[in-house]
Amino acid sequence: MSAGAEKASGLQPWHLFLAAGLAASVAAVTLARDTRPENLVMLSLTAFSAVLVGVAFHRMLQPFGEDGVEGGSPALSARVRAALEREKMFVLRSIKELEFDRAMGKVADADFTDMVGRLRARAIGLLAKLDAEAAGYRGLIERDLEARLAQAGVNAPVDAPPAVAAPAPACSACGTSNDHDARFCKSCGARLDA
Amino acid sequence: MASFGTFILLATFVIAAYAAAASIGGARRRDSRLVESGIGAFYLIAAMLTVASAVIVHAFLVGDYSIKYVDRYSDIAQPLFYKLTSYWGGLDGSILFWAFLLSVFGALAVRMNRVAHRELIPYVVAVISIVQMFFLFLMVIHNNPFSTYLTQVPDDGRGLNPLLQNPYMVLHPPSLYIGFVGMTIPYAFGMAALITGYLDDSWLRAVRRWTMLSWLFLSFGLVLGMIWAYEELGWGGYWGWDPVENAGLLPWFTATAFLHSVLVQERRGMLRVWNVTLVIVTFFLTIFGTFMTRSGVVQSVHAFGEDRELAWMFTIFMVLILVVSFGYVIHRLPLLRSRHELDSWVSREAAFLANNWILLFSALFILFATMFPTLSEVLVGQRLTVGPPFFNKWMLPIGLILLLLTGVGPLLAWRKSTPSNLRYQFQWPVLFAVATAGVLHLLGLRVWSSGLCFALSAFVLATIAQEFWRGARVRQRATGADLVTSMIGLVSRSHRRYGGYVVHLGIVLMFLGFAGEGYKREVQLQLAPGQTATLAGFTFTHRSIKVTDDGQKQMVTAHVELSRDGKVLDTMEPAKWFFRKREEEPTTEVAIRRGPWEDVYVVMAAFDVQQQAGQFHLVVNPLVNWIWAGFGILVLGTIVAMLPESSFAFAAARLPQGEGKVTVGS
Repeated sequence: MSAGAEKASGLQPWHLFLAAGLAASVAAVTLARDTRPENLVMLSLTAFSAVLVGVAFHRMLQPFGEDGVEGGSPALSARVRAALEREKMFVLRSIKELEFDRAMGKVADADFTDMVGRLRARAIGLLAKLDAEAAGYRGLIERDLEARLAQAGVNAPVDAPPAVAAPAPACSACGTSNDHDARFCKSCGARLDA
Repeated sequence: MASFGTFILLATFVIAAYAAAASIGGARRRDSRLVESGIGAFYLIAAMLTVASAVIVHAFLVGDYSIKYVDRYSDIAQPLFYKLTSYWGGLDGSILFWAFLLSVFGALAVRMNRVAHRELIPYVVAVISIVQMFFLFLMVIHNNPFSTYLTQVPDDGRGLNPLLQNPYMVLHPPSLYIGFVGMTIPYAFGMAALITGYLDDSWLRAVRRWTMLSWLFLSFGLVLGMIWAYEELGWGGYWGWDPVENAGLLPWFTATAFLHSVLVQERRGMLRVWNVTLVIVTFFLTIFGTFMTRSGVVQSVHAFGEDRELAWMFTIFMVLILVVSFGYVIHRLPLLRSRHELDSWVSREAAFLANNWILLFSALFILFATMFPTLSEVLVGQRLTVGPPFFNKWMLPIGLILLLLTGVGPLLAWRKSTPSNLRYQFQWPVLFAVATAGVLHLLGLRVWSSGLCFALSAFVLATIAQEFWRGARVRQRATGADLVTSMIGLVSRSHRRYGGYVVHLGIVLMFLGFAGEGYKREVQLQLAPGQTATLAGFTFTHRSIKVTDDGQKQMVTAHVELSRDGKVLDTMEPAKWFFRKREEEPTTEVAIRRGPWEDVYVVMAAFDVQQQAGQFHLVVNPLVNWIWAGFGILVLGTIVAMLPESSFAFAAARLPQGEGKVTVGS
């Protein structure tokens, strides 16, 4: 976050540290009475590693200069959604692997039907939950956005673009409402007209 | 510079304490500033230890012999390369090196995971910092690599132990350390998951690659140690069940077990307690291994001498680890309950479980046997030693069972296998194994243990081949591509599975090498110039003994002519090297003629320059090189398995982004 702010001003802390490091190595090498090349290389490396200390020290103190709202606690709902997504990926992958295992002759057909049936039921349940979650999730993003904009001092764009929950394209065949960018219906698979 | 080094260590201790406190405080109070500052402090530890390392390496380079550590492990005549690597040549430096590696690894792990596993990171930082504090404490209190002579600064150092002046020995400790230290990362994530209660599979995902990488380096370190023992110690073998070798092997077993049982948790949601336990045990064993070799509680060729104080500090630390870690496991038991039960004993889960038990048993067995002399001394008052034959007797069947499971596991179905698919899966591999055993029997190679090992290896090889073949056929049917393309597609689609098979292939080759041990031939004899000896079809003719000097050492070299069927193959030049200042402990330089089927290995045990006579140990070691080749394949397989899962990552990353954009734009 602060990196962005400093980018604007052109000079970043690490520039300073880099310059200091170069100066320190030059000084160390000049002052050292040693002349063996490997020793001088090591000496300048040592001086340079001190720069890392500077950078890390800065990194340690820097957070206190900020107002610590960013990233406080990620909303619970986002986490739930992430977990559901992971679970979905996991179940889908399990189904794929199970099919592969059957093709390899490692699962008996009866077992396969039983196991894949259970996995599919779980996947359908998860997808349904994710859909239900999606509505709430969108609201969450908008609230989060508002909060951030308000914090950044941008005056409430809240009502500027009317939060038209842009008419969700409904499927002409079965009437299911789909996502804005959907090209096919998620329920029946029919092509959606733009 | 020395006092500067000490100051850095002290300051780093304070910073580590701050990193732990800030992270825990920040996480508990949900203050992101504190957490971020803790992460910054964590990076600072790495930076500070980099400076400390640079200081000590610089001291070695310029020969600052006022520092005791530099004096003890280097001298002016030492080549530059060994001066640099003397850094980890002794106890104090190796603790510093350990702490340095841990700080760098920790910083990398935190940096890579701090967004994806935000909730775990503060505790990861805290756990690693606390471990770090222990090592810093050791250095500040007891093993300060920067401590100096108060009076009488020596003009020249005493030099690194000549046995360690060998390229393998230079790489062996760092790769073992990387393996050891790397195991702290999974432990830290596991503990963070226990502390926070986020015990789903996400922490496993974060540590999987770290564990594989550490495991790879641990294996590399072990193999380098074997090569070193084989080439440098000159007793004709590569593994002598020395406590220090065993110390590296213990966590290797449990880490191997962990890499397998992770799959069961991912696939079936089982073995969650077991996985956390394995991570804790693995970390504990890395510390215990260090304790065992560094405190002198066991006697070994290359232990560092007795040190009671150090032993106590380690003991307290280890007890703390066990109590705290398992305390949390018990506390979280309700959350760790498994979602599934074991359906059948003829299933992949069961095979994994069996493999885990055996690996853990191996670790515990070796642990117990290694500690046996010490335990018996405490209990009976007499140091009873157990030698390599004891280990070999027990580890042989264990190794064979593991080899069998390597073949059986992949053939079994998840959940349960029916008789018909058992037949379909097993007929070819079993047939191949039986055929191999029969052929070996007819050829007259009748050492039962090696024969069984060959047969099992054949079984595993057939399994792997069958897996690749059938997998490629299935894919070919689905995609319509040619066989090679489908094979590549197969590996890239589930690279972890097929990378794992390649690792198995490497293990099989290594087992073939181990089995070769059963056909080893050796003889010890005295040879005067012109005298000959024959062994396993080779004829050895002793020619002469010459003495040369290169400034750093005096070299006594024998010239032994090797021939077979009247044809001269080579001149073997076994030698003894007497390093300056260490004349009383000459190193044995083995002459080895390598070949795919056997190594000819000549050691000069003693010599008489006047008579030009030598006492020789002649060994013919079949199949040894297969071990090293097998290791090469193992590395390849691990790399394949570690490749990023790019396809899944893309799919996971795109979805929310796309949605977010739409909302903002509308």
